[in-house]
Amino acid sequence: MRSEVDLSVKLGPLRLANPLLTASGCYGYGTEFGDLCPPGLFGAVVVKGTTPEPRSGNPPPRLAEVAGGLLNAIGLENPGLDGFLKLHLPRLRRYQVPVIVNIAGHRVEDYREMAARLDQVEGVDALEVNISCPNVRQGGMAFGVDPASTAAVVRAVRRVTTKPLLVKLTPNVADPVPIARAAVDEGADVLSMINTLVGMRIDVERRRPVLGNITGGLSGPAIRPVAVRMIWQVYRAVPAPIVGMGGVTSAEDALEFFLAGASAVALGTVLLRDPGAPVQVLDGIREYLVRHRFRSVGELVGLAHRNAGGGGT
Amino acid sequence: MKRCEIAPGHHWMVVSAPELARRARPGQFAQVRCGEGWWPLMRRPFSLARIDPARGQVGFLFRVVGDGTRWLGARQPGQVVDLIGPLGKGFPPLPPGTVWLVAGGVGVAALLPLAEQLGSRARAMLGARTHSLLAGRDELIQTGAVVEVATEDGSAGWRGQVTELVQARLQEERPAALVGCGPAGMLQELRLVAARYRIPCWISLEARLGCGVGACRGCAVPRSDGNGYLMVCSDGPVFAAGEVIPVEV
Ligand SMILES: Cc1cc2nc3c(=O)[nH]c(=O)nc-3n(C[C@H](O)[C@H](O)[C@H](O)COP(=O)(O)OP(=O)(O)OC[C@H]3O[C@@H](n4cnc5c(N)ncnc54)[C@H](O)[C@@H]3O)c2cc1C
Ligand SMILES: Cc1cc2nc3c(=O)[nH]c(=O)nc-3n(C[C@H](O)[C@H](O)[C@H](O)COP(=O)(O)O)c2cc1C
Repeated sequence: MRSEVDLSVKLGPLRLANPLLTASGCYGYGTEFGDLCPPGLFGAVVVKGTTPEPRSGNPPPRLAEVAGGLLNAIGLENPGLDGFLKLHLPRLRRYQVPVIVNIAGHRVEDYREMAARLDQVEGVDALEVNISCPNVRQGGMAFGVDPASTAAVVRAVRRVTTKPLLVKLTPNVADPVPIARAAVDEGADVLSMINTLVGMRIDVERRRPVLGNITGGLSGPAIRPVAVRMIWQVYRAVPAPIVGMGGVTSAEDALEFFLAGASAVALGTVLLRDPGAPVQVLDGIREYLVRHRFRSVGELVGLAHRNAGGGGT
Repeated sequence: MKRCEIAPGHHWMVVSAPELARRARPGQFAQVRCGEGWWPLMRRPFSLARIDPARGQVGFLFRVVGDGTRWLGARQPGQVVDLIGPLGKGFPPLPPGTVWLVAGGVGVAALLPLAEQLGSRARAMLGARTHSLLAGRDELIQTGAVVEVATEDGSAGWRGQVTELVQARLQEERPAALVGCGPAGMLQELRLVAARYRIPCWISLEARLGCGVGACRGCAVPRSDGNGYLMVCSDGPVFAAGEVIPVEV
């Protein structure tokens, strides 16, 4: 049975053994989960957001739950690019899984500097540019909420690297299409979507915000419909492959993303709860392909658009 | 699994998990699924309060504080519990001599397997608001440790905080080490006492956990040297008392 279906996917210039990636920040540097969830299960591993210098992150509490979702305000805690290259990349490379490095910064130069250095590094298969970070030159407004600053970051990065470039879009915008278009016009090979939605919780007994950082990013099943809608919109308007994420927990969720237009999906929050999820999701995708006589995941991508009738975009 | 309520809102739960029982060491914990659907979303961490490789069992002692623990406290014998473990670093090798185990409330859970391991080297001090909430006292006595209790209302043993009991006993003798688990305020007090008397001290901390393995960086506690944070799940939950500043969950 198994040999009948092909789980490998093409993601722009990347060819992956299966359509599951890890969502940045939810799988650390690939080795923390050990046998509970080894890197080899994934088509590619996207590592935690990396910044030029080490960052110690936000004060606790950093996590809060809501119905069907998780708010996080980790604050990009990471050992910096040097720390990543020295401590983590060598260990992750041993698994021979494609490695995608998520880069984050507060100035266009931060992104350019990291991309230029990573361009030279063997064992880094692609870069994912996180443009949800605040731009210090524009009053802390995220790069990714504005087509012009998105274009500036992507252009700077594209100039200094030939590695495949994923640009990770933020959902905290009225319309993702102009941002997606700006990213692709400047040379993005793949779009990742979505990052977390900004939210917050208040502890009513203590009458103060729950998170140390006050606001945090909402992830998990609660944001899935938002992700599906945005993937749907961008797939229609922009000719670039999409890695979908945002509340994927099961094969059914992943299939929904493929049908909306994603070529692959990333698992984030679900890994924190069920490290066994990737095995179940892959089994379920395989079973669906066999049951509906598809030979590959690629055949499903965007298929729901054909059956959409005349509804809105 | 088997479960019984040993004090108001306090449950003792024994689970058959041979592999876990074989690999676990005192001070480690398990991440337990505490609901069927998407609420609560995250697993809940609980100390391994009994590690019994011979019977292939582990035990948990937990207090109902919210939806997750309420769900767990309603599990019936024979039902399956979904857990991941052992996780975290256990207690380090302790210096030779007497070790005082200082527990606040349900914090006793983390100290039970250590008491078992230390045998006659252990002396335990257990504090609670009132005598009916002194969960884990019988289990502690069963390990062979000398046990003293403190209650805030004076309904059993020493009247007042368990850390006050510790200070009183320090007038009489000095242990080789102090080990504490309980609310952040109590641990903060214990750290100060240990520093004042220059006694090596380890504390087991709580936090809101995410993944439980160090990947998500969610369960940060501030380092006392001001140099960022350590993770309760992967750097701890047991820390040298001088290393971290306990924060209220
Ligand atoms: C490593 C580790 C080991 C632990 N071992 C044990 C154990 O052996 N036995 C045990 O009973 N608990 C233990 N805990 C604490 C336990 O994980 C929490 O009590 C549990 O997660 C609460 O889940 P809930 O869904 O019931 O409550 P939630 O809905 O998450 O919280 C309900 C309310 O209780 C408060 N609360 C949450 N946790 C605590 C807490 N620890 N103390 C006081 N108030 C709290 C919250 O702020 C909230 O107001 C441990 C925690 C850690 C990190
Ligand atoms: C704890 C945590 C940390 C995250 N860290 C990052 C990060 O460093 N960089 C990034 O681009 N996205 C980060 N994200 C966002 C995820 O990669 C993902 O886009 C989002 O959580 C939606 O997917 P999910 O619902 O499957 O988790 C983080 C999410 C969580 C929950």
